[in-house]
Amino acid sequence: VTSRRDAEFADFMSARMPSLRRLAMLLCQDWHRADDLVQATLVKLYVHWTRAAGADNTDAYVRGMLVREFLSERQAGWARRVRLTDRLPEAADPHADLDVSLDLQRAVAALPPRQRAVLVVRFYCDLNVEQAAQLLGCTPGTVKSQTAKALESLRRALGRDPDASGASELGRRARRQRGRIAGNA
Amino acid sequence: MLETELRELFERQASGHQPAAAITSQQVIRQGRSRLRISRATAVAAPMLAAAVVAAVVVATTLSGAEPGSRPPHHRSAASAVAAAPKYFDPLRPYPAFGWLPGTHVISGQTGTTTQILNAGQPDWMLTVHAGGQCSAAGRILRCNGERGQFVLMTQLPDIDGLPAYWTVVGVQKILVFEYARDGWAELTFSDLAEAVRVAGHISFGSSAAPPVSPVQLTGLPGWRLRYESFLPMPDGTLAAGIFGFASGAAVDAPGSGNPANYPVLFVSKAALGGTCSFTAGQSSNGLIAGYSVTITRVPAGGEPAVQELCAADANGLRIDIFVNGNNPAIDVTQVFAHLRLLGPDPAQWTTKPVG
Repeated sequence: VTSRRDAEFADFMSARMPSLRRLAMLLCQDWHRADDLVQATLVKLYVHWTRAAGADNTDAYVRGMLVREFLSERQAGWARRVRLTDRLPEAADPHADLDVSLDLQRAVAALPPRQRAVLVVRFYCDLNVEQAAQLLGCTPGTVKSQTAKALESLRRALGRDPDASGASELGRRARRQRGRIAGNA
Repeated sequence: MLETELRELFERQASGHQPAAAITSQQVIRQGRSRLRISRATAVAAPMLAAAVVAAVVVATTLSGAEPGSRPPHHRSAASAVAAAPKYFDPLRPYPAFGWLPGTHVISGQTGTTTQILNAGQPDWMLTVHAGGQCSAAGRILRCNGERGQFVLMTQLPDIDGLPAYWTVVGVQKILVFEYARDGWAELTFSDLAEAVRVAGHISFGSSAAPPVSPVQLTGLPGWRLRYESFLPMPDGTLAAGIFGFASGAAVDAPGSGNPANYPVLFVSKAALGGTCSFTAGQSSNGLIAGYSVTITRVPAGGEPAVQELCAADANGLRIDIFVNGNNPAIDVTQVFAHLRLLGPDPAQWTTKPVG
């Protein structure tokens, strides 16, 4: 029984590992932490394998486990622990030369874990508000408010909130005005 | 639009270069097995373990799908439903009992002072009952001590026996959440809501059910006692305990705990013909205790807490596995085994008094 269970589990794990790592990477914004998270989730999955394998949608079940593990570990201070590694930092993203993309990436990484998780499950996993609430174990209202807060934080970080936009526009006008004055002088 | 940019960013990050994984299935399975040993006696692993022990112990089923003629005498009534839920359950007796289930099911379960579980299927019909005060409702959120943590009470249902009921979804699991007595909540996993409401309406609560019978007794260890963790039905309908938690002093049935770290958990089942114990070179040793062959394995603390394990493949017709997980064991596994009175494989010889 154990060897069959282990074989089934190992098959599932090898098939789903890449997608779980991708999701974990988006949550953690760091491959090393992502691997820690995936490993912790898979160990739990092994313990609960009978139930998970019997679920209507095992993939959704595991995805929920991973997101909840991410949030619980963050609450437990896991993210604050220093991890020593002999590996070099990841290679630069070939697309990362776009300033806007880099800024957005940094801004996403700076979000509180729960806000980042909400964005990932909504805009990467494509879950609607109700589905996201179920997965995160909170109310749809909380998902909406966390999404709004996260987007607001991103807009501010990118200088796109209404106040900041206004300030930028005033600045641009002032520079244009100075240019005209200088040109007239 | 920021949302579109986010989708693009996530897609780009997800489809970018993925470094080699530092995770192997062997690693995960090894850690998982270790965790499984610990959590066997706790809620989530119970169905799987029960299935394994059922194969050894159970030869018949306990509940039929027949519609009940009347509710059991100790079923909660409208009058009793408003009574407060007990703050603690008797860990030697199952508190809830199914009165009706669709189809025929083998029931297994777990007792504990703050949470009790009945399993009648996989994955449906797992009933978790929380003692009074273990859950607190705030708006649409119900927080409970235990495995699931909290529920979003998504859809309110008609009251069950005059008390509120809801259904919700956790992951992919549909759950009926209902108050069975004042300040006491229960969870029932299901597939069909109408059936679930009917099942919940026929659950009885109270300690009038017969206690499980035990194939072992604990003798000569003052202050220590056995508490049932998991039990299974016998052909005559009685419940047989297959897993025990040991407790002593202040650690007895610590609220919310499955089994405290450093305290033993004992697994008992009928010995299988030709059954063996696992032996790990460098960690295991064979020996004789009270005339029985045993294998003792001591795994030192590393990334995980230390583990002591004693296995007797056939001790008076019983298979015994004792685990102590923790770096400061309250008792040695050999001492536990030496104080067990083994009552043999015949259920007729078993006792309702696990402590001698």
